Amino acid sequence: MALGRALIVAGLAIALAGGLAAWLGAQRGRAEKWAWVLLLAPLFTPPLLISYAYARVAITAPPWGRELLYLAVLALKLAPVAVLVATLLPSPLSAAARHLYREQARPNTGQLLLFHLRGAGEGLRLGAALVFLVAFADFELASLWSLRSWTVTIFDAQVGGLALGDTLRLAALPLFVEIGVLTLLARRRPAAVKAPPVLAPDRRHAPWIYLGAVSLVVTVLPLVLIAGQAAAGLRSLTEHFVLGREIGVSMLFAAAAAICAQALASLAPLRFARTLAAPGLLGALVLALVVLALFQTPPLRWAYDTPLPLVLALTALLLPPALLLRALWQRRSPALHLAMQSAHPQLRWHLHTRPRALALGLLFGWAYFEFTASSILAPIGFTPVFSRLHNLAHYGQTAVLSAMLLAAFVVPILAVLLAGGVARFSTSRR
Amino acid sequence: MPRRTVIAVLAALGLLFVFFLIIRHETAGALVVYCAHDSIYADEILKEFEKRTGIPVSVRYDTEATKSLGLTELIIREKDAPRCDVFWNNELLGMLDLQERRLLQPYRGSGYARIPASFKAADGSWTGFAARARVIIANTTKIGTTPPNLDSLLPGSDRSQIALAKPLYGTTLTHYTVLWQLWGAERVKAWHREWHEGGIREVNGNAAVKDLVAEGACVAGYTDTDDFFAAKDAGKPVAMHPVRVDGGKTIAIPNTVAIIRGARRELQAQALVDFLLSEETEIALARSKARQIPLGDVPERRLPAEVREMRPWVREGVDLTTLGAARAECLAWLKSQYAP
Repeated sequence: MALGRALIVAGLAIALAGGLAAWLGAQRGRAEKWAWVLLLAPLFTPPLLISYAYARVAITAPPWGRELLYLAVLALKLAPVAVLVATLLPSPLSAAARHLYREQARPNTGQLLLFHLRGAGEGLRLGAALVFLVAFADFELASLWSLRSWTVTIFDAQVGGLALGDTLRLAALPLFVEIGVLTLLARRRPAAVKAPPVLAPDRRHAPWIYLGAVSLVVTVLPLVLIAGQAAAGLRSLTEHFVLGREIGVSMLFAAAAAICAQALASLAPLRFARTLAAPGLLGALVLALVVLALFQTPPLRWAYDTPLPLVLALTALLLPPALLLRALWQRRSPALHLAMQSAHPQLRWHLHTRPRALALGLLFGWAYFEFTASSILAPIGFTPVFSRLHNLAHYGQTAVLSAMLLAAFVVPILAVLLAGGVARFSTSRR
Repeated sequence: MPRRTVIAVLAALGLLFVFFLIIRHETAGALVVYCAHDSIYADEILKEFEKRTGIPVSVRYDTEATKSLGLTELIIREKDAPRCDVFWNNELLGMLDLQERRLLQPYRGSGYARIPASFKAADGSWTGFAARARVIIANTTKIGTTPPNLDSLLPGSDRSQIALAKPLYGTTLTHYTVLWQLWGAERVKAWHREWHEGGIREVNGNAAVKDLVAEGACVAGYTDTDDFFAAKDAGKPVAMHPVRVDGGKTIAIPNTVAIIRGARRELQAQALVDFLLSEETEIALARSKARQIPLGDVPERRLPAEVREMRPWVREGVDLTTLGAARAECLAWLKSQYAP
């Protein structure tokens, strides 16, 4: 079932990616910034926030309705990955070439589709593969909406006490699928990231409407719903704030993993990028089980009940997005070249430091909101906040829980904004 | 990467390492408690214990989906190098399993003395306190307040409007085990098959059963009293009726507590066990939103009316202490049924 879902989600993401990437590349200035914010917001919205906000819809829907909701949310949430890849590796076919083909060859729909697929270049395949892998390994949304998935079965088996070796044996078939896709990816030539093409401004409204609608459904509406419920619980939460330690622990884990991932992604030669990204692409569940198995072997058992296994797993999970973000900020452009030659702090901040700081912030958020690996690997006394909240979310929606969720969501964002502000201030003073 | 950046990265990681060490130091001497009871209720009790005794507690909670079984299995896995000092389980059968494996350290303190004999191990390996009961939760706008018979509630073999948690874990496993003991394996298997063929809504936990019924997606389901009260407090149109098995007996499932054999902080562990088994803790749990039913003697006037009404269900309950073998058989069969 997860295989079918992942194929559908990858197909939908790819259908959206090409056009959206070209449109994104044609945006300039403030429009470009907002387009990126709207594109990435759904991807970085924590699954718990979405599943909790829509819990009533999901629970009262008939099974096919729940399945449809899950597919839609997964596709809308993961499509940005395909767009991101398509932006980095745009189609070698120019808009003029496409136009010429349509005019001269007068293809039917099938021929046109084939033409686009063949001409899409490596971006399409890589994007499809990445979306497929992430969708196939999804656990968090499936678990909270009680959907059948291999990840849910394996997670339950593991925490339900099945021996680790047996659990990993259960995971063998899905792992085989994942490794197969990774092998197909690895066999292709390493792609050189291209400089952003210079495109004429694109003033179409449809992409704006699409991005706005997706952000509204996946990010804004869940936040508004939860904030609405949280209002009644905020007083009780402030009087008896119980999540401070968990939020602190989560921020420590997330910061450690984000720094490690970004450092590795920046230092590693490009030829090792696929090798570095591979473990993270297996998904949080399989990765966490493998790390757990490793740290239960005699040579590593001393570190079993320490933060090390979780930091390691989170770092591995962050490496694929870290490498993508690195590719994004390293795209060659004349402006960046000039900035590197210049000693002007503002220019360096805008063109060099800010993209890296943003990437670090995004990675921090990604790790902070992670639940699966944290549930399996967090040592005693280091319960990350989303592990705790995921458990509480099973009790249904309450005002206090909504307030807790909102606090857990807002605190790290404020921390990242504060850190960004400090970084900018210190750069501008140099 | 420029040298300055490398230094910044190393400094940041060093700082994080220091933070980790501080937290580690804080938790190093703490009493390690594995707790299968819902964290929203257990937290307050454990914090009160810390406040009164000054003994720091480090807790590992279970997941809602795999209540208690996960921690029971973890204790079994860690038997050669136990990390857990005290196991606060939210049911009994897992504790019986640990007792049989000789992983529990007997202790008969002041708390043990006040709990009736039917809710504690004779050798003090474990002791029960504050029970829940299995109930049928019904949506009153759909089927009214009359106690329903779930086998004949819907026409024919249709079970699509009835909800049940996955029976591999928690109190639903206890429920299945009771039936296994009373009905025998074949009848339980047939009943399970019939319900699944009828399209029963099987979900991850009792809380999800409560949600399905409270939201009207199902007309009724099997859950526990604490989940029912969560729906009732939220103003949902629900009623509860105790599950009655053969002979009209109820299924009352106590929390249980035990010290793990080889615990590194045995004295502190004993202090916590006495605290959990005290009259005060039972009253606190009865007054909590979970409305748990005290097992020891407590002044009736200090209990909420709803808890007073439920106290007879505990006395009418099936004896769970004899279910060890049935649990093992039933669980083995269920695991085979749910294997992917």
